[in-house]
Amino acid sequence: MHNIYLDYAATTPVDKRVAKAMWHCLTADDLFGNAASEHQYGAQAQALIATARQQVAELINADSNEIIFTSGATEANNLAIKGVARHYQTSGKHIITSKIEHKSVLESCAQLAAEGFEITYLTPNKNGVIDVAELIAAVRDDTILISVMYVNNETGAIQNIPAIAEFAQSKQIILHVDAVQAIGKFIIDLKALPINLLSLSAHKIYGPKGIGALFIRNTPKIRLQAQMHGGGHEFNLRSGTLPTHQIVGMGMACNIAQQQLPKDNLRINQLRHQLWTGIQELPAVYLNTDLNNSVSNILNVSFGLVQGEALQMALHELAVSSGAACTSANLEPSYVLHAMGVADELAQSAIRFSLGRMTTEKEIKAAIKIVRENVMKLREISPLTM
Amino acid sequence: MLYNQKILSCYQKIRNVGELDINDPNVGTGILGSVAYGNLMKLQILVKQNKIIDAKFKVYGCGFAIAAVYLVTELIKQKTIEQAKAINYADSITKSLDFPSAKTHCANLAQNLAMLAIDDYCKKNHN
Repeated sequence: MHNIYLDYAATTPVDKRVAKAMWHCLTADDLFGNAASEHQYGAQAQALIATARQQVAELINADSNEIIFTSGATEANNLAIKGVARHYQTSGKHIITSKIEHKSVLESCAQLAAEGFEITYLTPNKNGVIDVAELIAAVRDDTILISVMYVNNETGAIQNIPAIAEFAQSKQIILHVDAVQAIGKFIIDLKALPINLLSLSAHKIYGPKGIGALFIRNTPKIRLQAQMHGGGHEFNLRSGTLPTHQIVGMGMACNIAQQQLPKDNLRINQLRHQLWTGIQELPAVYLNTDLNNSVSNILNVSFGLVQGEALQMALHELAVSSGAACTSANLEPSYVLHAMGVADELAQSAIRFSLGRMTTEKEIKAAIKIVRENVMKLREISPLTM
Repeated sequence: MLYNQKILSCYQKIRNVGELDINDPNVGTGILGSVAYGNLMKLQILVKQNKIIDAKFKVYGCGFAIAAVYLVTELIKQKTIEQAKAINYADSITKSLDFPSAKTHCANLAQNLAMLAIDDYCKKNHN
């Protein structure tokens, strides 16, 4: 029996078109040159990278020279947060972020706190959304950075970035947005949203793992302290030979995402609706995803009266997540759900289903069957149900 | 670790799930743990002429906890009270189900649970 993959928010398979394009940047008979080289091999690589850079920029309506390539969104988040903090610390040492950010944001902030910065962590409401009024109230004279994710990876909740961006701009406070789970799910127009810094990742949009980007707005000019020093690549902001194959992969993934965005998301939204309809026939199931304010592909559900680890074992034919993928090395209960006020008993039995481009209706039907059968079985085994 | 093949196999072929009449003088009941603790286990044995003729269990807990208590019901059935007291359930569980060290506490809980059920029967019958 084949496993059913419903963990697209953790990672996606590389689109075959992307893999093909990447392949042509590898071997001796192909375009393997170092883009920094002055000769023809370098020029060829440069051309490919220029195209890819433009493709990434187009997805978010930015300028090509506002895109810096990194090893992923974790690195982009580190560069944005530490880069801004260390450059602007003479103006202030206060940073505002949220309790539901990705670990790469939280740990970067924790590191800065250890260096003497003060961090305010905003609490989301029960739907997983940060209150803009609370954010505004948290601003101080020494606030130098606001970092809020666009879409939460566990629940799919969409933050009110337009309002936050407008406010940050009015106060001239730098705004960083981790857009990893937002890219390719809905349109992000950086000519309309005054966001200063935006993090992207390729492996959530059918590109390869190990490549991401940081958008850095040209105007108003902001400076970052580089975190990777060396040959001065990417405007001295991120040294390291550019991985042509990775960048080409990311560019193509962005290009495909832009083209398929409306059709993909309509289909995925319908499948998610089907999945939830099937699951909610069970008693005592609770939505942690606000279906009216979330990306189309994420469905986070808590199953009452069953223990979380037993549930994960029982659902072993489904590739799903319990808590965030990055923190599942040890089974700690979800800090995101905890911040939202979800009771521990329900947080520990939460399952995140995340759909994708390859998800079929057949898979959804099979998943519904597997979930219903096993939840009912575990409830029969449990002393909590009569 | 969430489970191994043996744990999964126990879950898939599970039997002896259920309850006996707690007020029946021939029934011994053991309960331990709590939902907050992450493990709530219930074991009941039905004894006739000093022999355990049936055992039923319920568990709220991880796959290892479920498998552990299930194995107890299989080991304890058809034993006399004396034989049942003498079995090292924790040992059987960890060995035959390949428990990792992080999960041995589940086996120990199942061991305690078996003793609780047996003790309860004995108290009710002044053994």
